[in-house]
Amino acid sequence: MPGALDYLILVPTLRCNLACSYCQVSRAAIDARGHDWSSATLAGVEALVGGLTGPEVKIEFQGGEPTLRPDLIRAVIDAVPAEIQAQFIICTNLQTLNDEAMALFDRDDVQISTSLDGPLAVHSRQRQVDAGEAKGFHANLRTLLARYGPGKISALPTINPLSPPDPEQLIDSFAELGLDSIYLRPINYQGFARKRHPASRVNGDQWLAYHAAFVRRLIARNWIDRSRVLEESYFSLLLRRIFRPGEDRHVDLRNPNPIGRDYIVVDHDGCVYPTDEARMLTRAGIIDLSIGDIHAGWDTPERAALEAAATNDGDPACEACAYQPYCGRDIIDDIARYGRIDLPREETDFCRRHLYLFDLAFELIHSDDPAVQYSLRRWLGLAGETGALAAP
Amino acid sequence: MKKRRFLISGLVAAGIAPLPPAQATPAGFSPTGDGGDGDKDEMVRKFAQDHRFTLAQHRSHSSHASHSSHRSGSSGRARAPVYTPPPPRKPVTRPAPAPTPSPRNERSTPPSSILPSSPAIAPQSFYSEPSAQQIRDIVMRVQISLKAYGYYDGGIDGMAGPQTREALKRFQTDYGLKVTGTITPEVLDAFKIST
Amino acid sequence: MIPLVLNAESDAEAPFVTRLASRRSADPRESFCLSSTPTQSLWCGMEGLFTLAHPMDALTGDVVLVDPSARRAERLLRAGSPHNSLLVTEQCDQLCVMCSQPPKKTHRDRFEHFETACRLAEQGSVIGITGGEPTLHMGPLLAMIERLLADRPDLGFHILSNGQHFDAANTARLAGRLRTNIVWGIPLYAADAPLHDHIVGKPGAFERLIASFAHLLVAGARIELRTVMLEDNLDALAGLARFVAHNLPHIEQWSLMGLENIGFARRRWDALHVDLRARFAPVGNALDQASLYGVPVRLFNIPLCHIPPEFRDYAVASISDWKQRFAPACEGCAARANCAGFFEWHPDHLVEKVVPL
Repeated sequence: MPGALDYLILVPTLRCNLACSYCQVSRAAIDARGHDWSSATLAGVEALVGGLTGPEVKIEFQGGEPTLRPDLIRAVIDAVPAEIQAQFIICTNLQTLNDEAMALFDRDDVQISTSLDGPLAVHSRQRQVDAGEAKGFHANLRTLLARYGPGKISALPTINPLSPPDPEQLIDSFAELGLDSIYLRPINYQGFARKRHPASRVNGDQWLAYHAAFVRRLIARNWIDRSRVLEESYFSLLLRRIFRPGEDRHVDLRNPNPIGRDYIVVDHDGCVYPTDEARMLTRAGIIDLSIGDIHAGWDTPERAALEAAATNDGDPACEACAYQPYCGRDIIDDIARYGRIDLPREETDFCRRHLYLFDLAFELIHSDDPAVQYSLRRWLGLAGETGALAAP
Repeated sequence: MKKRRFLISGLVAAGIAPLPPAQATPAGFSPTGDGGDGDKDEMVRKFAQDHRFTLAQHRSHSSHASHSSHRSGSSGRARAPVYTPPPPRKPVTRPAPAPTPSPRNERSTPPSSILPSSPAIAPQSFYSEPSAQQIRDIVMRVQISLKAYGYYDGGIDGMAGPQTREALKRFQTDYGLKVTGTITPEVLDAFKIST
Repeated sequence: MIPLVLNAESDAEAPFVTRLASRRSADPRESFCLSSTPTQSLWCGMEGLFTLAHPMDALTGDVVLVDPSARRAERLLRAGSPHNSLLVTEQCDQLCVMCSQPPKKTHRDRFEHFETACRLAEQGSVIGITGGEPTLHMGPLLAMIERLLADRPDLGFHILSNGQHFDAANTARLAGRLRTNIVWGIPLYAADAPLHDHIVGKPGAFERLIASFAHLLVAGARIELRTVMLEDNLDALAGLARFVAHNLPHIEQWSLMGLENIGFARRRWDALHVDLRARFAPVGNALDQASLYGVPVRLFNIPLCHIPPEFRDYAVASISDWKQRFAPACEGCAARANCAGFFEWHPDHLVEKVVPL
């Protein structure tokens, strides 16, 4: 059961200074007009944020490249009522660093999220930038890491499942920057990615095997070097969901998955979407998944219809599945891949991927290998080594 | 958004059935996302064990860094769990703590033998006489004033006995003061008594 | 040591509650200071004149209960303190082996004064309610809090209770206005009924407690589970952690607490006290088991240097604002500001057993 709205993704501009090969949002050119919030949209967002009831809110600025409009970011930050504990995340490609952006980054309540696709060559190939630009990004990332330490900055890789980088190299590229958390994210079958990477429609067995190998690689490294704990964040999430039924705030993996209640996305034109992926599908012209707009609200028949469908309860395959309590339902992912949500579950990529990962999780939970237990306990946030994870 | 054509014509075409109006959420689904029946929602959340967010606002339950739930974005901006306690513990910004274990004996005065002696709990008998004297001085001045105003004909003994109380009540009544029979701030004002 | 009871002189006829203000105010419930020396202060209010054996500066803002015939005043609510608590009764129907506040047979009803005091409390205060066993007087207690919350919805209450007196008749009431503003601090010492009953000194207590938890769950009441770590239950803590995770996952916090050298525990210290420096493993196991299943768990009353580094994040800094004590060696400790220290009444020879971090 969701609470009041406490998580917003805001897209103040669709313009971007990069054109990544897999761009998920059909970005607009840097000098394009009409791709930023209008003053009316800004006023609507300010009213929404100003009316939040707290106690906490997390506001993520996406794009486009949101640092192109630091004024809009500041306006939103200023609109949050003082009594609400707010955390802001600015998702930026870190291609350029200017004073205004730095002033925002310097705030204690601001976190920085960026993309790091691995080694320099992979990063520049996927980002379609030349080596100089890729170096610029790396230099900026290092500057910020030196300034703030790793706690303030998260980076995630976007990975082409057909030619994933060597796990060891990928881990190294994060570890050497002091980033311990790696989120393995295969290229999303949305936006431009749909056209240029058609094979990403189905993450085949190759990808699943890569994910498992990656996790095992982390286990081995953690066992050798106990001074730090590296993790793959999505696998850690699955582990936590196995042991903690209440852990349901990860919007990609929860059941039921409420739509437009505790979490919304406000696009550059004021349209409201249930998730960022829904926004991308709509922008790419696949299907209109908007549930309303910032002015008229989003208590709409569309929202209600999506919400009613966003559950694995009652699905014959899910009801028969041992992992149902830990799993979730992501109807947007189904629409993205298959154009519809009523396929037999076991034929969907979502189901195959999660079956595989939960199998892996339970295999590891029951493993006698002390190296495995060591990593699992750290990923679950446990402090000590005594007491079994597996039920006796 | 402007009307435009989509590859998939609508939700129904994607296998998502519209809801009959009766099953849709009750109205009042405002931009704040509140379902309307706030209290009931809160109750349901309680039972859904969604405590963590509520908890953060409770006082002493400052969330434990390694275990505080964190969410991530749809694109998975999950932050790593904190494995090592971040030394120095951050001060809790929210107002004050609540259940601090052990108030059970806060009212108890532990046996003095195990307590360090401090001026604050040192025997006070030495001072009790002067303090009573201080009150007596003021009572005497009030008695003198009451006598001068014709409300009191008892002794000037510095003891606020029944006769003094009666006199105070009559005085307070006549002068429109709050009738208490005690030496209130108003009485001190009326008699211009300061200390 | 902060004095809670002061010598007092007053010419009032009966006990009264007032808030101490440094200057004259329009509020008839306040008394203001006429004069003050380092050892005493003279106050005047609607109840007349009274002296308190304490200087004005240390008392301003306090809510006091002045008892003229006993010639003393209790500081019911100290200004700015998050640790104020009201002792509603000294009666109790359990007799815990380590009881810090051994019960008495008689009960003196002071709810009227407590209610007046709470109305004078600072905005947003959380007020502790302790005993004895407060719920032996469940009716008047809940009625008082209901009346208070009607006028002061900002107040919160933390009530320590043995959980022996909740039944179906209470649930509707507890689910009402009381629900969000009361946290019940309830002890549970073991998942094993005989062991729990032994520790609380009452056969059948465990079973009755579990029944109470069911009623509290129906009411949606907020619960802080409290477990004192003793020689008797140390090895049962991990089992208790699993019991809590599986049967009481709705609690808000599980507090594991070090023993206090006071009350019954003083004479049974050697039999009850656990030296966690040597035997932390069962506690660590319990902390891990609880955390594994998402039970929010915290450690109280244990100095940081007695806790292995990897578990120190579970420790809560302060015992309370006036019971904290440190050893001379703690002077140079880097972690002192985050440390619980010892109770004022911890055995002297054990206070010395610290390792500056």
